[in-house]
Amino acid sequence: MKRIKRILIFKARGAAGTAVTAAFFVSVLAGCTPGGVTPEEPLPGDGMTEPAMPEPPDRGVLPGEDDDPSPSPAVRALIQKGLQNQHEGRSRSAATTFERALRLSPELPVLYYYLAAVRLEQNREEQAEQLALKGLSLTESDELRFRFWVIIANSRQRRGDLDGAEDARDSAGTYR
Amino acid sequence: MSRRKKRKSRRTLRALLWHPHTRLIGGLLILAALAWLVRLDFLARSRFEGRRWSLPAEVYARALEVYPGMVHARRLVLAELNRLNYRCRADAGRLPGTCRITPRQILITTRPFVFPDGTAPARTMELNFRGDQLESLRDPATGREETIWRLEPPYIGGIYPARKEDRILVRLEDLPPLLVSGLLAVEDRHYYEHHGVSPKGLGRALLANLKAGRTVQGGSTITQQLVKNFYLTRERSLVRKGNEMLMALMLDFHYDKDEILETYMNEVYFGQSGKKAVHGFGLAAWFYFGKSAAHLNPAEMATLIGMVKGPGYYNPVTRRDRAKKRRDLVLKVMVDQGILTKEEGAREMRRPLKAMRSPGRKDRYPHYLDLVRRQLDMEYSPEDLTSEGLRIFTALDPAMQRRAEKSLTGFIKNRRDPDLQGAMIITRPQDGEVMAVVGDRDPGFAGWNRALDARRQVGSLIKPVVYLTALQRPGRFSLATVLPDEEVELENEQGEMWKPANFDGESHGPVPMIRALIHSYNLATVRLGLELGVDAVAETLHDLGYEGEVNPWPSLFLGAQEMSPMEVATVYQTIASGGFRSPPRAIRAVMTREGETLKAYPFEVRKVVEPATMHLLDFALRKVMQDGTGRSFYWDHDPDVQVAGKTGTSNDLRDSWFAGFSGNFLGVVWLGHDDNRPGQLTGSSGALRVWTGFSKKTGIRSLRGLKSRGVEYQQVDAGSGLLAAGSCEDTLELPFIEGRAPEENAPCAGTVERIGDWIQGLFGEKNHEKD
Repeated sequence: MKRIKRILIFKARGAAGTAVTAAFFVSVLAGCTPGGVTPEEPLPGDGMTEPAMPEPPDRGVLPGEDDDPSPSPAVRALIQKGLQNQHEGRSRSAATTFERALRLSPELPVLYYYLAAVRLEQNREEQAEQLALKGLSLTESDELRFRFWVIIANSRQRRGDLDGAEDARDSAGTYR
Repeated sequence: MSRRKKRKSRRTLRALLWHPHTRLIGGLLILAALAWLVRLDFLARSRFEGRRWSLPAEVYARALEVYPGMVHARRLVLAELNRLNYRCRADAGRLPGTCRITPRQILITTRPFVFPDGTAPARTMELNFRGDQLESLRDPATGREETIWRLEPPYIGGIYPARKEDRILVRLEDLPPLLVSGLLAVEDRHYYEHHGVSPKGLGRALLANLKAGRTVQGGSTITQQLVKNFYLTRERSLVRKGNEMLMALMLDFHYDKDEILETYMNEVYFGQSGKKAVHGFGLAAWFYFGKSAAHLNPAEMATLIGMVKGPGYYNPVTRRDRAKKRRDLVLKVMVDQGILTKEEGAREMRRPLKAMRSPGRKDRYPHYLDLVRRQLDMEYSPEDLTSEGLRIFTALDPAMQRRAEKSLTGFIKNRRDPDLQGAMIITRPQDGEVMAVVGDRDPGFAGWNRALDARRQVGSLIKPVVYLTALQRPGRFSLATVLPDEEVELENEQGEMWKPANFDGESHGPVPMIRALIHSYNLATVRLGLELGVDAVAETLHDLGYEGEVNPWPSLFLGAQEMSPMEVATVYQTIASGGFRSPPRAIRAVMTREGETLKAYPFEVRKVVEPATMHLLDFALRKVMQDGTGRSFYWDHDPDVQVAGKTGTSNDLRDSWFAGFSGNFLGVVWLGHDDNRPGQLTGSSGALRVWTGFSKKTGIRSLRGLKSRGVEYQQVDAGSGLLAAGSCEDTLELPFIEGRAPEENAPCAGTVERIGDWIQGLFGEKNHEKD
């Protein structure tokens, strides 16, 4: 019962897509207040039935940072740049930048989250799911686990794997 | 001659001329001449266009990331500046491509560069060090501290057509004006006035030649010289000369003067670099002076201008005195023409001639480039690769490459075996990027690339695949499963029976699986393999990324399977990244000359083994290094540095292998003989030593502590594989898939607890067994 309620909650968050996530992070990392976030816009290709990308916390802390290792300042700077690129609609540059960060910190789970989110935006659902699975194998953070499972759910939903998407949503629910 | 006769002959001539046949022949001749002209015009234009755009793809290494906290920062930055041919001087200004080095600071001004993910303008940055550590990065223009910055990537080679040549295309506006005006002053003073051919120049040359009684002046314009280069042969005839003149006129008619001059400056021949021709001022500047044309001083410009007349005759490396005389003559012309002042001319003439045959543009990484080329060949036509000037961005890490080369060649040289060969591949464990490839004991020799093409028996390197196959069946097997290390008979492909043996010739009785793996026991492995079946092991091998044929006989379990070092790296890559497969990639992106990304090769993963299962194998491969066949690694390393790997030795020591990974690299090393004759090295005494040597110089990063969801650790009795307690003497702490640990107590458990055992228990596994 509790789980269903949770799912409804993140379903109800609507189709606020990765762009919004990105916008939010850019502002958070840049030290802006969350109030300055751009209005929510559905992403092209983001069906309304899909659960949303989870929203980021309203602190200057990256998701999972409390439990996983903190990124170095260099990696943090690259994350900011990648999110900026993504926000400006340059998803290829965003992906390149997150990959650059991954070369410096190949085991930092949150990077797999950002890269997976870009892949989803680029309609590369299969890779989004695989990157999320990889992130799941590395993270110690329930918050990130939740986000990874939501990405997997979205990815499966878009590929028409409705049962798989439901399973992933269930898995996500256990971390909320 | 009488008037009549004259009249008669005139009449005959007229008759002849107006004869229908003559008219026909005349018409045909005119047509032929026209056709000839059209052909020449076509030739001139197509050759010109072809020359202008015939640019080999340029291959770049990775760009060095510079950030506070980077390991060996100062050393790496200095090496990179050297690789990029930066000019470091105490008085270096803010010119792109310069630097100033002081003990605690390096000031760098980069050259502008178009990266696949954006354009980086030239930028000055101040790097502050404490020892080898980078403390801060500061932009002196804004005073702002930066957290990360990258230098432009070093050029590592070109992709050439069959005819070996190399180019660095320079644009006219990027060349120093003095170089251009100096060239014109010497070679073609009236370039901007004539129409491709200069009758004045020709006349003057003729006069001079007559006076001297031999050819001293060419009289060819720059345009004519360029046209001459369109022909492959060096034939000298009047017809050829006439054709060249016509084509020069045509070029001049069709194209802008600057375009022709630019093409000429990129085309002109400057001698040989080994098998490759050196063409153009851009490359010549690098080749002879180790810098870009933009940074040449007037004396160096004059040297190159002087070489145009005869690159072999006036070669500044091999014909130093002659080249210096010629240089000074060119400088004098420059002064006479008023493009240099008298004082400047005198100063430049005082400079010694310092040319070198710079290794700067040699292909230093033939085997890595070979890998790049093969990956490109699958997607691009040879024409595109050799003529479009594509820019290829690769993952090559020159620092890693250099250390890999040194480790391999250093070891081989010490062996005093002139035929011992080797190969080495270094990749990044998590994403599969190939950072270094060595395919020969002489890494600069572009011959057989053993890293990609030597397919050799892998020996015990296959064992982790056998054990992984077992661990993927958690209901039946765990690391504690006791295997009989006892004699066994097998049938081989010839239908004969054979008896494998352990390396030490002994049987070790019942052993837990983990010990069979870390000490590489053959008999236990064969018995395990037989239980699993060849097909199951072959399937795991394919899952891990091997795409070739698999030996269908049980000899597979002992590594009677031929694989190349690259194929081994592919398989171990999947193990190193926790069960996620990322095919080895050398190329990151391909861009056009114009800066458009044609294709990016993104980081991709695919889960092929459950991470929890891979955790068990990873644990065992770390034990190989701590307690097993890989432990000589710790002769040279701190015990805190965790690494994982496996040695491999084929029959009669024909092949010595090691494949292993740390936090920052995966390395595969092979040593052996090309003719596959028996050698003297085991995996431990050969390949592992190379790997260890490499890791010592590389700033190895430890693997992070193993943790995985779905795994539990239990203390078990080595004899029975069951749960250990108090008085068990030989115990192991092992990971199990959650819920799959043994539940039964070992026979030794539950007896009277002795103080000594309790203490030993505290320290985990004990080593009773011999190797």
